[in-house]
Amino acid sequence: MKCCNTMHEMSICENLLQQVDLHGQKRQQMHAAYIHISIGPLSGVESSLLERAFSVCKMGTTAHHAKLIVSVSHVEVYCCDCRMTSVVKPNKLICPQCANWKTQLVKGDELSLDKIEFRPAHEVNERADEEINNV
Amino acid sequence: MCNTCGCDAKHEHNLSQENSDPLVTAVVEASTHLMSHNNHIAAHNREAFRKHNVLVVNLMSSPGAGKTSLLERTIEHFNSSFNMAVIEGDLETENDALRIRNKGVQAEQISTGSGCHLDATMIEEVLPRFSLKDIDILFIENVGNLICPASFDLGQEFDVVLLSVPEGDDKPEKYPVMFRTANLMLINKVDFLPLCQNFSIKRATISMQRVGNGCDILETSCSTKGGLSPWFEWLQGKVSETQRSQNDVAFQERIGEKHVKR
Repeated sequence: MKCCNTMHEMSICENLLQQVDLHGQKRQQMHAAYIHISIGPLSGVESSLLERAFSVCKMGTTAHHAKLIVSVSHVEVYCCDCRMTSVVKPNKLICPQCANWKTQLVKGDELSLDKIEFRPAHEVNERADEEINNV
Repeated sequence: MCNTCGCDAKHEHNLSQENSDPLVTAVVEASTHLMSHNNHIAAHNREAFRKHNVLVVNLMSSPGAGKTSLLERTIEHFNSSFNMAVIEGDLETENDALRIRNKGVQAEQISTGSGCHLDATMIEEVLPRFSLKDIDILFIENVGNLICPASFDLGQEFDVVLLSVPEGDDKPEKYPVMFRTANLMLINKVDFLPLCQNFSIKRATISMQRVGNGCDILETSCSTKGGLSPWFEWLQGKVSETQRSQNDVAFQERIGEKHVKR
């Protein structure tokens, strides 16, 4: 892990690939084809950097042909005063209805592996070969 | 039960709807945190700290905000009352660790090379060098960086951020991930206020509120030693809470022994 932690997206990527690998070990003759993750703006992770890190880190792993599908959420806060839930900017977590700053974050800091879609290994490899040939 | 992922939910996986790829034959609904490995190690670290009643404070700021100076002043103040230790995170050099050791306190350096943060595994690896049962406060001086350290739980009980006056008063809004979850903010180098007239304590406070954080904000200067008393009181209070929270009689007795030994 230490070899590529120059940006924290790299070490998070290593963590992601370890989890994918664990699921892959239970499914012989299959390879991960699509990896779905969710990232909130307040997770501290930048989706474009994570995607770039993924394209490097996946090399030589069971996910080396997988495509990363990132779902970026918005930030939502709940106001304890007016009891409204509102969508806000990541650096302005104030209730837009009543300007109260004592809010609770409802959504926006998630950083999760949601779903992995597997295909038979030979299909994944063939598709990758086709993609290379098309280039 | 769902036949695809085996979960209890009564939902159906329509593969063609979820993904147009007809060759997908298995879908795993993982729903796990991407930091689960780090968080798992951090939980182990926290367990070890709690077992030995060690108050662990993670200090974060940009480089040069005064983390090491704050530790020097803190060690000078508490040297006769608490046993302290420091984990120093830096890209290179042992300079900060040497400054702490010069004050007579154990400091272990983690050189991260080109790494921008400390993670739970690095802390776990350095812990055997400490005798936790003899420590009251363990400070983790994180790598000077307002971005990455915020994403990694280390097992600490409290996050303290330093914002130094020359940096500007809008840092909380610029780096909401770090400032949003801090338990205490120190506005350090307040002796620079006459020179940095654009810095307003009020604006820094509002900036902190904008990221939804109403934590205590203290004004300190490590060079003039001004405003440090509230920081010392905060620490003292947290040490008492940490040691009080352990109700086990055996632990209490051992803490008693630890303090008698001094």
